[in-house]
Amino acid sequence: MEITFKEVDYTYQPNTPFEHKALKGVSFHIPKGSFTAIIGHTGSGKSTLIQQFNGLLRPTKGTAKIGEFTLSNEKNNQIKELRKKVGMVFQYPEHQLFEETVKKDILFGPKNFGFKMDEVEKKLPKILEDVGLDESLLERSPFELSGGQMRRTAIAGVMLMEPELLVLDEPTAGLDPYGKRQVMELFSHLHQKRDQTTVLVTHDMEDAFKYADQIMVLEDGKVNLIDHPKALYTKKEHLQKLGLDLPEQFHCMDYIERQLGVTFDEPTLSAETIAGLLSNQLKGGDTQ
Amino acid sequence: MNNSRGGNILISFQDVSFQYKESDPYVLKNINLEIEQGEWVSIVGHNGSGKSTAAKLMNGLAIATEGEVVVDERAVSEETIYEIRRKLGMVFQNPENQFVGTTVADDVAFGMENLGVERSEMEVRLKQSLEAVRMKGYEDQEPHRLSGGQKQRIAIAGILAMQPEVIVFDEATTMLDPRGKKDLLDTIQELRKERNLTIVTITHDLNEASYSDRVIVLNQGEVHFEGTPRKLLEQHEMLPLIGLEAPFVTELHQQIKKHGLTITHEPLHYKELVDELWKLHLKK
Repeated sequence: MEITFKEVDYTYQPNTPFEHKALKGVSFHIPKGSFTAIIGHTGSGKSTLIQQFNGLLRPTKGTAKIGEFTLSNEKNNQIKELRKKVGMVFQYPEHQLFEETVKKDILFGPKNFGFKMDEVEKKLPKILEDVGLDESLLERSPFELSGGQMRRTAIAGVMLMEPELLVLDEPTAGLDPYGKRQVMELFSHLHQKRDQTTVLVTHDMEDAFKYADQIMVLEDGKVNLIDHPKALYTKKEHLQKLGLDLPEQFHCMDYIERQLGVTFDEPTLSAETIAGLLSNQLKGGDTQ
Repeated sequence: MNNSRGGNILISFQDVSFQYKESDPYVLKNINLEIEQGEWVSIVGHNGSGKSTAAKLMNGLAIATEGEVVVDERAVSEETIYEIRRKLGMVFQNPENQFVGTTVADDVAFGMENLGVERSEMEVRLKQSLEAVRMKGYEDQEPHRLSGGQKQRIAIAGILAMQPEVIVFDEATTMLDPRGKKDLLDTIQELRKERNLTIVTITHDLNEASYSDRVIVLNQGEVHFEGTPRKLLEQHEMLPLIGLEAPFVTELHQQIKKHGLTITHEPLHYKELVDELWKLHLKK
């Protein structure tokens, strides 16, 4: 699903003393099938922005096109249709589980949106396999599951609706390194095998660099940068000025460049590649 | 109470086991550990390793099923928890869940009011605590308007004002963005230097654990490792087996060794590694 924003403003509580402009003239394009990472610190407007992707919020000014749906200040009566096609995984999705059994919880979304339930149920085993949940858990209470399993349950419910656009709001917050990697690999896998557009909101520059094909930096309610993930290295001074952190590997590469007077051709997260260059330089095999 | 090394033991676990319900499996099994006064100890482990339960046992949010947890020579029990909580403050994971006051000043003063601290003394401590966490000038702000990292620092100020012996941080950086995380770790380091506090941090981030003097690794409710951060990284092969990830510097060190380059000890930071390599191996 392609997304095009044109001069979008969003103002909370307009015409009151609490008026707050969270988005200011935001314009950008997210191509169909892309994986875009949205980066910015707390208060930069990230949450406000992604809530427009499924019509939870509508632009105060300007227009937002999500696939064939156009959102503006005017009321749109197709919101329900839009929401069927846009899957949202918020932070701590397991906090939104509430049904008696895992199965009921997974099926709640599709049922609520009026999907044909016999068809949906046929897809269930496949989705469970995709997200890595064992079928034996279906009749258990979601509250008896481990944190990782709860998160997979919440994700299964979203994936069952086969969204054209999947929006992930810091989906790995609070997980340990192992759980984190598993969840990100899952989303990367789903992105590659499905005809889907993915938007990831994250603080984790390593994930942004590793998984995205486009990065967008928000700052003070405006698009500050929209670029290839390599820009996370080439524009590192700029990003650090904004108070954004770089992957540790990039700090290390930068340090090596300054200490040893070498230049890396490409940013990398691989310790192997960095070690190779470092060793080469120390052994004097390279005359840069 | 002193240990064999002559240090003053502030917290000890003596054969501690814990289960939430009788029918549940043990979350902690036969744990023995000691934390000295003035020490910074990290307790690390994957989700479900029992590390947060260990923290709860220290301030009586949970009471040992078997064995004894002792804080400053008092066994933690229903009778002693209020006394113990004066000595041991705790900062939790979610900054949203720990506010009671409508302003920062009210919030920091809340604990002192409960302790019956005199008004004039309260004002002094309020000022000092906010200075210590670099939040002076925020007295009249509403806590909910602050960033996550600022909220955590206000929570720390509230604890400092009660003049505790030890502060336990239970995954206190997990929900913060990188900037908030760094600020909080800097604050902890400063406090430790200036106030001689004992610090316990519960985390699964080994970069964070490398700030501490000693690391205790829990795995499936048991103590799996105890030693300095450097020692832990030397034994990096075991980390993936217990659901932890070796930090980047350790990975880089391993790769460097493959090129036949060695340094004198396991590095904690890439700067340490690069500087050593440069000194030892650069051919002019």
